Amino acid sequence: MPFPVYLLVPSAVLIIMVGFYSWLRGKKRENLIFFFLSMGQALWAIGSFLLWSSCGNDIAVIFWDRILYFATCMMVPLLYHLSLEICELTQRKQSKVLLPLAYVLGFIFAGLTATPYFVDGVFYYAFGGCHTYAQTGHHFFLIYLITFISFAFYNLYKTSKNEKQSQEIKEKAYFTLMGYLVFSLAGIGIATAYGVVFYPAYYIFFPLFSIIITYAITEKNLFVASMATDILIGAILVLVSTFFFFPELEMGIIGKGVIFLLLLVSCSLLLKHNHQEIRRKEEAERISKLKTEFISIVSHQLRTPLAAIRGYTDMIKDGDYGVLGKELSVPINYIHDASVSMIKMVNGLLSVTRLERGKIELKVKYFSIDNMIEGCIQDVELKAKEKGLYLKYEKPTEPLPSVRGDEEKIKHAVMNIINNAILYTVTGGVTVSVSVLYSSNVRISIKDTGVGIEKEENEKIFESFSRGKRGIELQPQGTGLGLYVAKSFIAMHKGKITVFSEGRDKGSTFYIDIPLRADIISKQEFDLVPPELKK
Amino acid sequence: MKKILIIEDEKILSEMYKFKLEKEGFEVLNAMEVDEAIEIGKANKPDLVVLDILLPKESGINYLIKMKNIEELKDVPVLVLSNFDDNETKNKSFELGAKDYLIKSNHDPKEIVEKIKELIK
Repeated sequence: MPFPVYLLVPSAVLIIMVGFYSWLRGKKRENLIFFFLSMGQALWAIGSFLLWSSCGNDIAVIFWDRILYFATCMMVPLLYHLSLEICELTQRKQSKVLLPLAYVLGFIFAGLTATPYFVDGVFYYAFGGCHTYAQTGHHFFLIYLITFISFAFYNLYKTSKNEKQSQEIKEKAYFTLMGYLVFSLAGIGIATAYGVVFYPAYYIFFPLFSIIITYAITEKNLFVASMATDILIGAILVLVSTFFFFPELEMGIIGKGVIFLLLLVSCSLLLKHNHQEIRRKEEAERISKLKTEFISIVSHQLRTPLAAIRGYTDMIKDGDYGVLGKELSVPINYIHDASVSMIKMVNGLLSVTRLERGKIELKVKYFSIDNMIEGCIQDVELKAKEKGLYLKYEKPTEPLPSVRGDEEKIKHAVMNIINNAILYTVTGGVTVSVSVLYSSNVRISIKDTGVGIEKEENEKIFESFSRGKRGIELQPQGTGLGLYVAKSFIAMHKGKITVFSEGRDKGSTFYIDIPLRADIISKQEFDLVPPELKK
Repeated sequence: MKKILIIEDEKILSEMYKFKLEKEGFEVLNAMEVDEAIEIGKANKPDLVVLDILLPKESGINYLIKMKNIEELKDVPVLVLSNFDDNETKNKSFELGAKDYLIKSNHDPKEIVEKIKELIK
């Protein structure tokens, strides 16, 4: 077999790897399309290789030829689709007609490849080559292929030159265009079906395409970011493994030179990327450390004056400095409350910095979840009463098992949610209940009749510095850290907090699930636990 | 009259706690740093020590270490009252015999007084 045919296999392996990586690492639709397109190309390349190796066995030749045509039929709509995604043209009127049309025709032609109306009969030519004869279906397919590939290239070209587009999109379009233009040159071989034969040097364009795409992905972040190292290692592996898979390969001085050059380029890029990656990581760690240290220092510094404001206003309120006139008592109360809410913000910031630095440890012990909730209710009872809200604790009928965890942290999370429930409820009240789920989870439910949460905010409210719209309307102050900290504390116990709300003004229910695995034990078992573990 | 020794370098806060405690009927002594506190403590034998952690010359932790060798102070209960709430420091304080560890900004003076009364009992 001629040397360029051998290049198809390692290139196919490389493109499969690149396709998989882009799919696994990137979340966008274009990554998925690129993945399918890569699989199609790999199938085409392997089909072509097997077709060459099957020369002499007509049935096998026809079979592999049909396979490679099938792959080509699928590649056409995918490439067109990819161009629309990259150029952000999917919403255009004509795209809405042309894209489904491209797929429908692609599927029709793909079906047709299995019939003798596409290709049939085998002929042999120089260089040890063989091919099938094009039939009617093939002629129409050629028109379809040229049309849609031209559309795709036109879209990519226009976008790469469009001054209004962002640099990122322009580069993406440019490299995709270059890559697939080169790949289409490998498709010149299609002329063989019409009896136009020549040395299969055109296959060299496939590895060239793989290199361009790999370069674009590693250097220009095409489709995915920061996957350079993985791809480059893959590329080196593929190149080196070529010698193992094809020991009989005679590639001559030029072939060896090409492989050596490719190895050299891949290795130097790999080294460069490794250094860059290390530098980037160090810089990110430095910035993150600086940020958390800054917040930590500032917060500690803030606590002293805040403690003074809180303390003195509390003493003034209590009449320690003499009877307080009615007029003054209102602003003094405001100052005291404001200082308390600021202290809470500072505490929230400190908790976040500690979470980010991994500085929070769990003090694990067995404790009664029932007593803990009773404690929470007692702590906030007055607050609910002052607002004219009910606060109920619906005790379960069955006794609750002991829980092993950090009582303080779990209580912090529960208190945070009960406090929020009271804060964001105007009429009605809050009901707390506990149940055991599947004998391995404790579920604490906190149901309120408050302002509710918009559906799209169900996840967002748990992010740091994030608050629900209705919450902000009712209570403009707040850092948006409380739920983040609560969620993190519960997550440290391998648990989770979820929320359910039917929407605006329909109340919310928060569920705190703490999976206890072997940590939930019966009373008898609890008595057998060594005392030091119970502390 | 029960004696409380407050080791606190922030005058604005030590004055505040002193005022509140005196109002509640305690005798209050003030020290700004560890060695000064030990001198005052030896001379006056307080019933309880309120200890800050971040002090000018040496950390409040050093007071907890040093007091163990001082006859007049080794049995005097210590309430750590600091804005520094690092876990390691907290654990260390408890290991060295502190009775409790409160964050200044999280409590009104009356709550601190309540805690002191509870510890003196």
